[in-house]
Amino acid sequence: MRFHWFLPTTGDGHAVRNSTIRLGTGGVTSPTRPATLGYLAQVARAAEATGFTGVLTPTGSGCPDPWITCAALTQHTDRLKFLVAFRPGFVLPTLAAQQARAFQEISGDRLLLNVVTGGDPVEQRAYGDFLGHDDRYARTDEFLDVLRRSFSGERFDFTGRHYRVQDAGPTDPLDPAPEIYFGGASAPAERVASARADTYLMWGEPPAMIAERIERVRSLAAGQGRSVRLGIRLHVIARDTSAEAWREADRLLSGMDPARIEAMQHYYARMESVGQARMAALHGGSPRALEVAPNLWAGVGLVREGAGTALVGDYDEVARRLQEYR
Amino acid sequence: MTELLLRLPTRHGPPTGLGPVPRDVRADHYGPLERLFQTGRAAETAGLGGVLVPHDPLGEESWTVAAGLLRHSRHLRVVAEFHPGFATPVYAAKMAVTLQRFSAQRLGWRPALDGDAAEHAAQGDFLSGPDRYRRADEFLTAAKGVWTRRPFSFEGRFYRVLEGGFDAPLTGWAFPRVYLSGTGEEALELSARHADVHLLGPADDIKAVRAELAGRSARWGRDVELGVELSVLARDDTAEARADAGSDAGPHWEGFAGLGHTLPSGLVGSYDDVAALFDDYARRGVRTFSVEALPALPEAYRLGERLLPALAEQEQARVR
Amino acid sequence: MSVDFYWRIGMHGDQRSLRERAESRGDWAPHVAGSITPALRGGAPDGYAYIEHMADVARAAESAGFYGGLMPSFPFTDDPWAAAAMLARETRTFRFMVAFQPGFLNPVHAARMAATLQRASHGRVVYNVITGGGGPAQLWWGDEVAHDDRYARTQEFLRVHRGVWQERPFDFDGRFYRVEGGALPDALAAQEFPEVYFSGSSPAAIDAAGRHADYYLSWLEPFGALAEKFAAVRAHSAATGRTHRFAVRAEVVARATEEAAWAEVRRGFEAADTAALRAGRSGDSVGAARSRAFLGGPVNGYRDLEVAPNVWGGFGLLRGGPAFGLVGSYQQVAERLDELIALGVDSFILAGVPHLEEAHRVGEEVLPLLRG
Repeated sequence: MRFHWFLPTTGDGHAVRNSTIRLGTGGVTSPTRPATLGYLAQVARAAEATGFTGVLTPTGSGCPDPWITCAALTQHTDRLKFLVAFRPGFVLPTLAAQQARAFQEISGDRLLLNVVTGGDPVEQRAYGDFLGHDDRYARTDEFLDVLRRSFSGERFDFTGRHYRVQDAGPTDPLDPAPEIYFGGASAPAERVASARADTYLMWGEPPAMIAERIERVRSLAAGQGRSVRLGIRLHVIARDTSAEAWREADRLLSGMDPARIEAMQHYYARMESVGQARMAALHGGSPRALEVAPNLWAGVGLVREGAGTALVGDYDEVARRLQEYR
Repeated sequence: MTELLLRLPTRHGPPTGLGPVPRDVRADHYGPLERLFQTGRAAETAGLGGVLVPHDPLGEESWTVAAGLLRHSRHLRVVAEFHPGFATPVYAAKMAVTLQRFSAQRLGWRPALDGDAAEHAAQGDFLSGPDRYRRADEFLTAAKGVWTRRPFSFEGRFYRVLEGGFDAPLTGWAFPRVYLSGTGEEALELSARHADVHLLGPADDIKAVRAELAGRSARWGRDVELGVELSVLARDDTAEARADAGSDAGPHWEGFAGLGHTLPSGLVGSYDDVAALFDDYARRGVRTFSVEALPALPEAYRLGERLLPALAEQEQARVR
Repeated sequence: MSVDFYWRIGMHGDQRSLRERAESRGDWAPHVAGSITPALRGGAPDGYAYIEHMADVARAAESAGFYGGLMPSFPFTDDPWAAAAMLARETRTFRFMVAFQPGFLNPVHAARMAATLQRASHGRVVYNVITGGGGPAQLWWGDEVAHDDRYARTQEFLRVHRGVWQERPFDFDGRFYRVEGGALPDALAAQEFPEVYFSGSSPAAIDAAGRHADYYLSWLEPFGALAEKFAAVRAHSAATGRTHRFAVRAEVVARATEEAAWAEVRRGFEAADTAALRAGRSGDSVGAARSRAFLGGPVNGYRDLEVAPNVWGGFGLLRGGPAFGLVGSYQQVAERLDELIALGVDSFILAGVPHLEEAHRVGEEVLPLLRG
């Protein structure tokens, strides 16, 4: 098993960091710890020293660009890998391949790619992307096809619905090419994952819900003679005792602004993301009954988009739950 | 394998005034030692084995410079020259073990025993003659003692330790590689007992010292390598080297002081000339070359890019 | 008036928390479960040395708003001079307070070391001059000079040190040192002489501090006792004509609530070897003896060590080092620090375990509450 940590590029603090999405009510709060390069370097070095394989960076309109942030952090670490998140729709695959090549060079091959197709139509349109949900995944599929060919070192032409390139590709293969992580819970997403991804990444749903998805993706991949590694994205509140951990969850909950919780429900409703819908369904916007499976707390998702669950418990409990997902 | 060390210039130049051109003079975190750290990195990049940080009462202090150099390099050996009177042997060993732990064991020691009486008096040191060697012997004995044994007790004329010695994790690290020098009897006996490398001047009788040292060190069950410490001015061809030296002197030249060097004697010539002379030393058993070449930063690249390949060729020819 | 807040850079690893006394950071206890940074990972060297963690703690404290960090020195620790020289370029404003015993260094060479480090760090060196707790540890270091003589030596050391730096050329002929024509070269002498923090509770120490210290540094004690100590130093310095500033070292356990802070201490206390509580040490440190003397009466539970509100005397059990520290809510700890400032304290050296995380916590939660 590999463990990655999270790089809080939008800031850090002792409360659940609110969504960085601008909503009608309750604007973006400023973090108690600004994400200066110095602070991020500390987090990265701590993750490195304590044995994590890499760190994930968030992407979105409210985040600093992960390519640039991670490139800077490679110079403050020695062996930590960087799971750079990006939206395929916003950059040409050939250019992304060139960025990956430069990143491998300056970091000593420490790049992992996290391909995020995007699930909020408002945000997508703000970026200038007007494709619908299923078309976006079709584009991601083509994107990854072109990206992989660009790593191969062979000249190639490509004509698809979304990309067309002629006489493309650098002269040398990129070795090692970065591993590709991919998330998305819809049927089109599962199809792309099974065909193109090295690791299929899921937000932390209860084990039973995860199991169904794993089965589907595995069988889809097997049908194409592939296998896909599986990854899960969870927050963790682990303490010496279970009681302490739950006290901490309560504290986080009591710090959440009810207006913000309310606003986030409207936000989730507008989203096209199947994964986000599954997350939102776990808590239904209610702070009550948030322990949706043993030690799995859905409170984070009340005010924050994306991965919205945390494992809460003492160290043994959390370790056992992690084993269950395995 | 030949070891090539570059001597760093740690004496302060005249302060550089601001010229008439407007410049950004805001303070940043680069200090006046930056040039030395850069030179260390140049030596590392150019593939030299290490650097010697001299003890110079009028220059930057060598331990502090060495610590920075170790932190800002990965492979470079950093030999700190110091006066044994600067600290107690236990404290010197303590500082050294920290540097060893944090640098993958790249520290070297060069105890400096020479210097004139006035200079020593200004440093608060009034020992003279053979006593300097006796104190150095006690210093190294006690430092190695606390480094390798627990408990370690020591009763000497200059130092005393009771139930000393390091505990884990300060134990098990390599003692700094010790470089010593001199041709007198006391110097040779000190080297026989403590040196890993004994450094000679370019004109010393290497054969005689080698024989003497071999006999003395065998009595202590030790083996001491030989090194030469000298200035170098090497260029693409002999004429260019002579022009830069401003002298028609032969390949062995005593005039380096005129170029601002600390070591007055050394070699002038083409890379091939100098490589051949190095090889001549190597044939006589010399394994370490501690070189002064100025200005040190560009010379580090010059030595790495030009002299080292020429040396490798000589070495291959010799092996064949 | 501005108050300087220093943090501490642990020189022999760190603990995960005060609840269990085992160094799990650095290579001091590689066999402790969960120990990180033993420089081996998967059986292979990973290029990690403890200096990396020290650098991280320094940067954490710097970004949390601390002015600098104390780097203590003991037989079992790494050496602060060497470590500070390695770290000089890795912080920008954070100062390195180097603890050292003058007896172990030649005062002229030490001046060159310090001035060179001032150049390397843009003047961020601070001295914590310690004269030694005596006992077997002094002979471990190879130092045979007796208690009061050590203070006399410290005075001579600082006299010579300052002389070759500021009164060039400098001659001196004393009991311990003799110098003729000692002088730092111009570029080194141009550096600022480091601020001197000086500790010691004995009359000899207070006398030496009166002559040479910028800050008289004391471990935290019940506030009344501290006030008396400061008064003694003030009376002495009135006699010598030197004015003094005061500094206090304190461990800190600050939490969102008072209950949470005491729960932390209670758990550490319950896991600690309390039999050692009343055991004296064989050193001749007057400060250590004073600390023990405040613990009157039987100790049946952790709260018996609370000698004044929020002042707890059991830290020696949980970590070693100074006995007294502040325990309480963020607000309470801030109030106690404000009371100390009112007593005349100009500078604090605070510390919490684990040092990296607690630097952020104290910097973010406690220091902003101070009224000064």
